[in-house]
Amino acid sequence: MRVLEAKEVTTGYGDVEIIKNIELYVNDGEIVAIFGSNGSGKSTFLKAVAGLVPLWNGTLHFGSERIDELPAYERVKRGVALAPEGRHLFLGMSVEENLLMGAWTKRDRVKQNLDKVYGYFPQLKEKRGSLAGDLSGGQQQMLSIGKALMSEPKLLMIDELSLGLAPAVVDSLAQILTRINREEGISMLLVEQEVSLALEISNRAYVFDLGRVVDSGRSDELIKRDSIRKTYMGLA
Amino acid sequence: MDTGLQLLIESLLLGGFYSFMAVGFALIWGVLNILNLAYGSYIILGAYLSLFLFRYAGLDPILSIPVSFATGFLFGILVQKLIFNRAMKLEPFMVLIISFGLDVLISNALNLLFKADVRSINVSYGGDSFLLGEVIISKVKLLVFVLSLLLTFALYLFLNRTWTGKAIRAVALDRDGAMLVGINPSQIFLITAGLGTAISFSSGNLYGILQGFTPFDGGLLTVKVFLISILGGLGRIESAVAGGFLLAFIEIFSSFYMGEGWKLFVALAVMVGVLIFRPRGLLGSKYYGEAQ
Repeated sequence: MRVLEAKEVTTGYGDVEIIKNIELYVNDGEIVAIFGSNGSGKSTFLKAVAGLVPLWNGTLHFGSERIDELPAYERVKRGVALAPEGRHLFLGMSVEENLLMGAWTKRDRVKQNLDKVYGYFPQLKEKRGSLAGDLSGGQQQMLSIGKALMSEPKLLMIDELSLGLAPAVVDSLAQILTRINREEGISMLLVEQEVSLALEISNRAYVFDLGRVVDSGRSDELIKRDSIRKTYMGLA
Repeated sequence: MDTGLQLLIESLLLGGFYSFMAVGFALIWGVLNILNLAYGSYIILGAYLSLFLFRYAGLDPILSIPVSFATGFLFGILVQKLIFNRAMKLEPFMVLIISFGLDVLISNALNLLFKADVRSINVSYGGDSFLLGEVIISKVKLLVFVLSLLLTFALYLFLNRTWTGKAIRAVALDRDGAMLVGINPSQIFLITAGLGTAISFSSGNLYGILQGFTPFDGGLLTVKVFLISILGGLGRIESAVAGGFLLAFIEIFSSFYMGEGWKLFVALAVMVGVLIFRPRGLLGSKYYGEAQ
């Protein structure tokens, strides 16, 4: 069963085409990673799935439903969540208020979901009264993921989990993500420039280059491939 | 009699009203990024509406606040849908010009309907006052002050305690972030425009019992709410309240010690000072920025 299926997805900004004919799917319960050089269209693809960027061509199916013509807020209701690049937290609100806003579409189960998020991220519970803008980078990333979890997503997309964070913080976040994936059964689509990390925690991966999918496969196979190790991991 | 104390009390009483009057303007500016130059005329519309209800239905302006609120809410939504939603797709300057046109339209329409004479709403308790120690307190001013604070506090609770209110703040803080949690920004824009306009209409009721008015007083009121928003900063109710009290102090003290003609001059001079030294206003802090 596929959670997400993208066919011939093409889009861009203004007149500039950023991604072309992207074919990508995520199976139920899978962690899928996207990596590739800067400007290869990874973030744009996630935004297109979330509904922040309209498609020029192609289709997006979420489960059995076609979602590419739905506005972003309708996709959230159906279970698409994005922890975006730049995080887009409500910096002037407290940590807990941010989480509560995350539950906008699932107001009847705020309490359980809040406990769940605090369970995965105890640091957020300690900081619940602080302004989101006053958190450290790692805590903001936790909040961004926690906020997305509050909407009970079926597909959690995370743009640049590791960006600007210390390696130790990234490792613990990655562990928590795999726990969430296992325990909640939430499928994940990660855009990640730290290729070794992306391949370690994912089941499958796609390689983007200049707005196209140039390679894809099982992560444990990709990590052994010489071309991948050379180009993206700086290894011989 | 202590003149300073009397002036201080007068400033407080006026400041409460100014805060409430400006909070709708600051809300619309902060959330929709619209500098609505017709806002002052909205207040005057509310004043004429309450005058009309007072004359022909015998309804006290205080009791007709809910009518003004509801009318303003609908009016705000209508104007947003018909005019501003379209203008917002163009450049911000267009929104400014259109709101100026709206101001001209409203004041001239009121002039046709009610003539340019100064109107006032003469409530029975209008002239009453009492002595508190050595300070004279006008009952109307006290009533307006208390109501203004209550209504402002109600708005504060709405924005901080309800789902819709929090969504309004969320859209102001980060529009994309709001969409990603499932909020429909266009719906929030409509509600905010309605709420801000409802506040302007309601403050018109209070304005009408404080002083006389003509169809063309809106321009000066727009200048005042603009000043208050700059002085206090945007993005929070507290900012409008701080700005409202500050403007009232400046006006009352400068007009007593320097003369009535100086008060706007002094207020504008302080505004320039604030813009140079504290561009975010007295209380505007970095996380409560205006809409991006």
